[in-house]
Amino acid sequence: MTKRAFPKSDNVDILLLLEGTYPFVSGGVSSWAYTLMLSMPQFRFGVVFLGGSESLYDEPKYPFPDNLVYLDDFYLFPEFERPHRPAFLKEKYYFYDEITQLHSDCLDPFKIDSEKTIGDIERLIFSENGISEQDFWYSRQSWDYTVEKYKEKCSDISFIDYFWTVRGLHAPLWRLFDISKKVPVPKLYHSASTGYAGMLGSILSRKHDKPFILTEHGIYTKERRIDLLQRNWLEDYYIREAHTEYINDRWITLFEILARISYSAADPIISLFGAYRDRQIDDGAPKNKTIIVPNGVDVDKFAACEHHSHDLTKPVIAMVGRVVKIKDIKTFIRCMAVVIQKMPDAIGWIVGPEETEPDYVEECHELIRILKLEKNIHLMGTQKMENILKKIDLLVLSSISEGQPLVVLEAFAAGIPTVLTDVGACRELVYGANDEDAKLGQAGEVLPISSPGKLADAILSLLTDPNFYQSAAKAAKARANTYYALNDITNIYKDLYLEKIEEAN
Amino acid sequence: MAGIGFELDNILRRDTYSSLVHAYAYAIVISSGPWLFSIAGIFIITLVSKIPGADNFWFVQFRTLVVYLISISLVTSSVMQYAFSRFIADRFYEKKLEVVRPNYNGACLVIIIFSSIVALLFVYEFLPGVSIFTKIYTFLSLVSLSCVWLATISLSGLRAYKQVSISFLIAYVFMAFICYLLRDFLLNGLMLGFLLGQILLFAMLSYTIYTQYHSTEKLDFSFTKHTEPMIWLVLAGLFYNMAIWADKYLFWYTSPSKINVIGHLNASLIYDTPVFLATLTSVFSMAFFFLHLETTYMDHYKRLFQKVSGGGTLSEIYHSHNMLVSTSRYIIISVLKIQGVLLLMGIFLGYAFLLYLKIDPYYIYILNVLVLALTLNVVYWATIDLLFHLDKYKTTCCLHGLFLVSNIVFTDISIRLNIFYYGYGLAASLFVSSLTALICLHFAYKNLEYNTFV
Repeated sequence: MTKRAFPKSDNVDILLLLEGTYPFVSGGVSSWAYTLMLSMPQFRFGVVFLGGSESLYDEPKYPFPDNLVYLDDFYLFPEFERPHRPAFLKEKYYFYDEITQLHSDCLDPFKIDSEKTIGDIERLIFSENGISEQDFWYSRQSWDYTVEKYKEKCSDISFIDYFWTVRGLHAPLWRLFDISKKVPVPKLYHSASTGYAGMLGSILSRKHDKPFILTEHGIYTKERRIDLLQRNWLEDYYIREAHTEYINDRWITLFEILARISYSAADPIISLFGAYRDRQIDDGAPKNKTIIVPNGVDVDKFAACEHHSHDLTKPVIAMVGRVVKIKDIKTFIRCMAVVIQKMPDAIGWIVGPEETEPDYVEECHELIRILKLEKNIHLMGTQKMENILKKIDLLVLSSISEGQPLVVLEAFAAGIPTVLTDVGACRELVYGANDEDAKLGQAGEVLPISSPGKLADAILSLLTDPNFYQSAAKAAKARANTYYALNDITNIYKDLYLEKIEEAN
Repeated sequence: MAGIGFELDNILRRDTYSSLVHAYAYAIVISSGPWLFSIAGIFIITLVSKIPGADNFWFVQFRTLVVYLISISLVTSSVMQYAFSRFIADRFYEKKLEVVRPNYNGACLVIIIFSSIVALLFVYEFLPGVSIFTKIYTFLSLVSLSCVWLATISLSGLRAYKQVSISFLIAYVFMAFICYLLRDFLLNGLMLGFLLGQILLFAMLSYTIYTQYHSTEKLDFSFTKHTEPMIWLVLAGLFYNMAIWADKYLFWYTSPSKINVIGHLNASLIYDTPVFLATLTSVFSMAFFFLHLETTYMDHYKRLFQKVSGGGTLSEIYHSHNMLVSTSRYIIISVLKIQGVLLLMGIFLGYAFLLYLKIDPYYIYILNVLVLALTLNVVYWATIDLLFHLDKYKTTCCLHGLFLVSNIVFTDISIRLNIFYYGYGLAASLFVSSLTALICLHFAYKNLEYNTFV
């Protein structure tokens, strides 16, 4: 892949630290970052993209706004992962006690003193006189220490897997050290996750004494846990066949440590909705630093999609999302089977990209064939949301995991009621996040996951009761306008930026 | 084609006395090195074609000339020795056998050009006043010998030991027969016989490569591609072959025992014969080493690397490691024991043996010292082979360098002292070299896991 020409200015106001998102991967966080930059032309933005290995990413998926003045991509797990081997390496035995102490501190991430730990890491790794990457890879001491810990902790697992796990767990720290020396110094750091981006933000904000804001759209440690269980993350690089529980636990521990360090350095710590905020607090975020800033939606743009021609006897019901297991499309198909029994003219649309899990897409086609629903249920592929909203009567999400789905906010703005599973922010969206919000009314229904029968009942109750349908549509629109208008959300961030930059001066 | 280890294993598992003899006979042929085979062949040729009662100095001339040809061709082809056999063995391991033939052609071309230059210089510089036929035969023999070594190296890398042994046997029987027929032409007759034998041998070896490894490509030079171990392998081959001949050349040109044989070629009878006899004594222990390296050692070696890459725990890896080390120790100690017995035999029977060969038994001391030296040589050779299995190319190269330098220095000192010290130079050099090699092997094993992983 040829190196693209990226803007490279040193004069940056806000440096966004983005892990595996904008501009190379499309998704919620990428859109958020892109919109954020577009809506604040008064700030000069920079983006540090952190990826796994370069070959995993293609051309940028998003355009570069004019106020994006700096962009650089860095990779934490490059294919040629070993550093250059020096001819001679001085052993640094004097670090032994400190390393041992740091490791024993980090055994239980819930008990670490984040301030002390980050200080230790800065001194030992993020320093020219500390432990170099060469020391880590090639020194006799590093080898002896690895063997010592292996014998102490897990002498019954495959040694080669242990060895590469240890290398994989630590190697990105030196990448981050390199990166921290290369990126420009902004007025404020803003990371969109904990993890490596959060770690980089913590280190940089301490080093340059600049404010550091953290926005979490999901919960990084939870997502990585799912990744590890699905075994598709880093698999080819460090973790080989024997994917033991012990090795998984080490990765989880690392991510928990990175989260605590990020939470300790960042202020404020932003989440999208209440349940995630609670989760952050459980994971060690100081409560007084946490605030909620939801996703925003361009209400005017989507209000234009509102249509009043709903024929509820021939309803069009859409499930919008990538066709992947986690969205549980099969539950949607099964629930539509029940709906179609009652309403033979009902149409089900499955709208979303189908590239990620082709096998699952095929399974969905198969299920539709078995249920003989080819005439009613259609996989539409990727579509423009405005076009979809102009034609549908109901939005359904059958996902087993969600954050704060943007499609629901967009449907709300267009006055489309929703039937959702009880995951992420869905309950707050449908019933209201607080008492005042609840007064706006119920914008649809929320049901347990993997319950096609219950989903079908809720869909039918909305479609067969015009009053309920109308009130839900009204509540949806009102909620979007009151709490999720993009202008308001952008203003929150703008004020936050100004305030933090002001404080720092 | 199954690996030699597999074949030897099968023979040994038959577990009878005759199968053991069979296995050893096989191993002797393979391990003692074709050059030893060649020199032995020449001695047999001189015996069968001797004209009784005549002045047989031309025999000495023939023998001397052939020894020179063998030594020069070995050094000439030595730059390829380790490097090319490693290249071939790697391709054999990767099962990319289609590259064998074009690369063999390429290597032959390089060797032919290079050895022709060397041969021209040799004939011009060392053989003034010798008949034009001898000069032509010498030139062609040197080139074909160099090619024979290359072919032998290639087939050894491909583990076609059986074909190599059979080809050598047929070629030398043929050679002896031709020499017998041409004995009336004295030196020229024998040289022509030798040349024809070498050409036949080269043809047979090449035929094996050509028929067994097909390829659409004609010529390829990818074996010359510079890789880091390659340069060490090239130097190691060169140093080793120079080292094993260094003491002999010093005796031929600087010792008081030198005699001029033909042109500028010298011999040193009181040193040459004991060296040859002593080398013969090391045949058995070399065979023993080879047999156990290819069977027991390779078993443990493979098991260790299966444990490492197949997800074994560290204690399993250490266990396999210890098995490998104790196997190596057993092999080296056994080699010493075998050589010890031969050394005792040399001390008790060498006197009678020298009398029988009409060499002044006064030089029994030289023979005994050289048997000791060759004992150390086997230890050295075995240790180097074990280091090679651990991919210690740089170390091996340095050790061969040490052997070369120490052999020159110590042999020179021994020649300057007096006749009682003859042979001590080689012995001292091999003592230093094999001791250093054993220390290197010790550390290589000690750091095996560190070096494997880190």
